[in-house]
Amino acid sequence: MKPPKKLILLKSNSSGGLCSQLLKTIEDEVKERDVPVSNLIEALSHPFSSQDLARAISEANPRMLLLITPAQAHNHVSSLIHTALEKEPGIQIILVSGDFGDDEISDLARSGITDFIVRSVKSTNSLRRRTEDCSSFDEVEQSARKCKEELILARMIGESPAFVSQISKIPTIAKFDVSVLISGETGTGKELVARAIHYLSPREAKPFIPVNCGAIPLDLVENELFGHKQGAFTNAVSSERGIIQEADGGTIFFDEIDSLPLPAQVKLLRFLQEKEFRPLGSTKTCKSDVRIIAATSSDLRQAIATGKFRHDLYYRLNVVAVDLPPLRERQADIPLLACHFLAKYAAQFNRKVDGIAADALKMLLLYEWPGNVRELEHVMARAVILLEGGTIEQKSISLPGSDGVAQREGLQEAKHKLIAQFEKSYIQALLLNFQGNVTRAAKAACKDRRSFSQLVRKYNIDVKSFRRRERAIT
Amino acid sequence: MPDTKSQTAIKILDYLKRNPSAEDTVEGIFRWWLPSQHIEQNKECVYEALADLVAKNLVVKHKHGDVSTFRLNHDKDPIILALIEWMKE
Repeated sequence: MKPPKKLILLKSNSSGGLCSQLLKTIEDEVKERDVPVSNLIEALSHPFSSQDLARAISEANPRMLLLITPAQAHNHVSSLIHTALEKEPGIQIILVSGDFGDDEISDLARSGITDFIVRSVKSTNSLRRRTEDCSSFDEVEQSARKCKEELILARMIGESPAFVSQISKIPTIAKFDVSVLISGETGTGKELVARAIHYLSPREAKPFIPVNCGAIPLDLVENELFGHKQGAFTNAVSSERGIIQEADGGTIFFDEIDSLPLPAQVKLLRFLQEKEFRPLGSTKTCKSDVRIIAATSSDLRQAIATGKFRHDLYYRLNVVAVDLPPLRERQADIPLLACHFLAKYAAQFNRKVDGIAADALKMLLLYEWPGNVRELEHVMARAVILLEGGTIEQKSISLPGSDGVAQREGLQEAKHKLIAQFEKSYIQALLLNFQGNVTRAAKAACKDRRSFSQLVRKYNIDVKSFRRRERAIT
Repeated sequence: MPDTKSQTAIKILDYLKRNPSAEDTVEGIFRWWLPSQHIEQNKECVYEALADLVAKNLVVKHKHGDVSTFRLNHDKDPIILALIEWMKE
């Protein structure tokens, strides 16, 4: 069997400089391997057809295809990709182009490219990671990668269509080195999704740094992100690296991105565009290769409309979107999640738990879950701690709704409950005021004595206790 | 049987030996660096193991706003490798 080769396609109108850069980058990456570069690269340097490509793939048995092309050749590129995947389904296809827009890239992503490079080749870009992938790529690796994807996705518990439709995007999103915007209410798992993307991506071995934009004081945000040079301000006794430099090669997760102040948004946008930034107080620009994943629980479009968030930054971040549904829209997942947390905390607190009673489960299903999955987890943890016996009963479930805050119940039921509470309190107040005198209390309530007494019996109010209080005082 | 603090520390160092540029928070280390069996029962152990590793200067702690991340102290690489091998014996 021939040794695997990487195939480079050179389009006749591609820049010679870009091709030289590519060759140099590949040579740098393979120089440590004891294989001559010429054994790894097959170059086609004139315009060619899909048949030419098919023949070249048959002869060279490549693992990777580098396709260098301008955006005008979009249709031809699509047919080349189709031919390559038909000939060799496992081949990795890297598209290299300076001028493809997001729409063209999305189209080509759907047609099967593995990754793309849209700026001039830099040593820190995806080509290095793909070259490393390619050198050890084989069927065993592919199976291992698939297994890893499944293990990571298994951490995201849920079967409801609304949830699965979002989670199933993760392996694909992870492969492409683009910004991601995750939206969802608090407690829906935005950080979990961000980490899944990072640990399934080629950046998995590099830093993952989460930043809570809402928790950093406004006057410190730029310093936290971009760092500073010694002497940049009072107390800047030494230079400090910011998060963007710290995360070089890896991923930064900007949680609550809508909280980022406008001046920092401008700088972040510039960094996203140029991959360069300037620490505070420095005249030198620095480079960093970082993937940005942002998250928000607000409506960013609303923030754009009110001028609190830049629309150009929004479009830079929202290359790929993940929209996590709230727990109340994935009711079918509540029993699954509840059982998962039950098992987790039973092991952690060393409690024996046999299951959840039907009425307790009903309570969980009726509740609104404003805090979503995180709130459900805390409720189950409390239930395990307070458990008496082996089964989680309704009394073990402590929800804000059981104190009178909104629950998911019918309007009539809620109204009757509220009326009953009011009636009882009203009658007790009257009896207190009239020292247990039912006749005077009834008159004050504009009711006849008999009806008032019926209400007293209905709510099991001990009238004598109101007379005893009067005696105790006197 | 849940891992002990030192077993957890070795697993963290082992991960960092294989991924020397990795960096993440306690939560990320707990959920994504360490094998899920046993560790699941003892997240507290991960906190304590990391605190020990930071105190021994084998791991560096960085504060970013209200979040702290942990990464390998590259100045100590040979020591870390020797420690891992010794603990595995």
